[in-house]
Amino acid sequence: MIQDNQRIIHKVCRIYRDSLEDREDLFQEVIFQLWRSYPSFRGGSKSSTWLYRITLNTAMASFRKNKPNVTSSEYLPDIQLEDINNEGNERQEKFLESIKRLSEPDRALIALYLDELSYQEIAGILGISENNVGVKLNRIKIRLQKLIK
Amino acid sequence: MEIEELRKEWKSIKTPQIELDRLKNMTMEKSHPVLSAIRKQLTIELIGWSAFLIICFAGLDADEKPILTNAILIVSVVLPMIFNIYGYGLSKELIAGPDISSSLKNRIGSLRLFALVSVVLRMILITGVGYFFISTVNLTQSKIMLLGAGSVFLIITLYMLVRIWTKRIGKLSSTLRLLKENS
Repeated sequence: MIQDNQRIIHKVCRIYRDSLEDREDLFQEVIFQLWRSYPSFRGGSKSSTWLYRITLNTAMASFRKNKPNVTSSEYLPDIQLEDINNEGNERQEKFLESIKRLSEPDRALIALYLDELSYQEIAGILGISENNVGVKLNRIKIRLQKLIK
Repeated sequence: MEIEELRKEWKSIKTPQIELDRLKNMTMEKSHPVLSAIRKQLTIELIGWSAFLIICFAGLDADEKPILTNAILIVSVVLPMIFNIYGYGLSKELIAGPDISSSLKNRIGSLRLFALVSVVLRMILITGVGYFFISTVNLTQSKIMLLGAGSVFLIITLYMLVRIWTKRIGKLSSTLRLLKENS
């Protein structure tokens, strides 16, 4: 299950940690927490929904070793270096940097929304009402679009 | 950018694919970077405080002193060590509820209690060690200065401990507050 869904974990690590080292530490922490939590997974929800919950919970509850540096321009992507200068990659970096300027709970909401989880699933993962999900998402979408412009 | 474009961008993010063997290795406690660092710190503290107790008993003839004084020394040194082992267990428990809000709430509660007990035990440690020296050692000028320097060092570590916990719990509380906003 982890192998099939590791894209989710990598993407969450990208938006919750700045340095490559911090992202690697978070990735490993998430794998460890998924392993520990798996016995309590009853299959009541989709495996990707459960995986998202554990991943986001770990990202928000764990402490980073290094100080956050959201405005840093020395952002190191953990993908092939030859992609750095192409236009698509620059756009993607800008997109990710914009998400990282949101608060931690807002990053969780937008990630879940962009991965097309329903309001009900998002509310279940975060432990807030569906109505609140809608209100928050409207605000976040406007803010994100402004940040990207 | 429109929402569909944002979704497309999100889905097109390139991510590495980590092999199964490496993932399996990551599930093991011994390869966990944070837990390894905590284990290392616990071992150093255990060796350090054990050496301290040996010096007290062998070098300062603590075994010839009143039982109560020795008991205070041992309890004040051993209790924080035992509690640190509990802390190691707590550092593994990041998932503490069926959803993120309740998990963060429970985690904040556990950390608050842990931080409070840690600070109290550190104060007991300073008091216990200080009491031992004052009551059993013939204090000369140089020994008083040494004791003073040791106390200052322990008080500084106590202050740093309080600062670290305040910052960590504050950060989690702020995340939870933002998450529950408008609820």
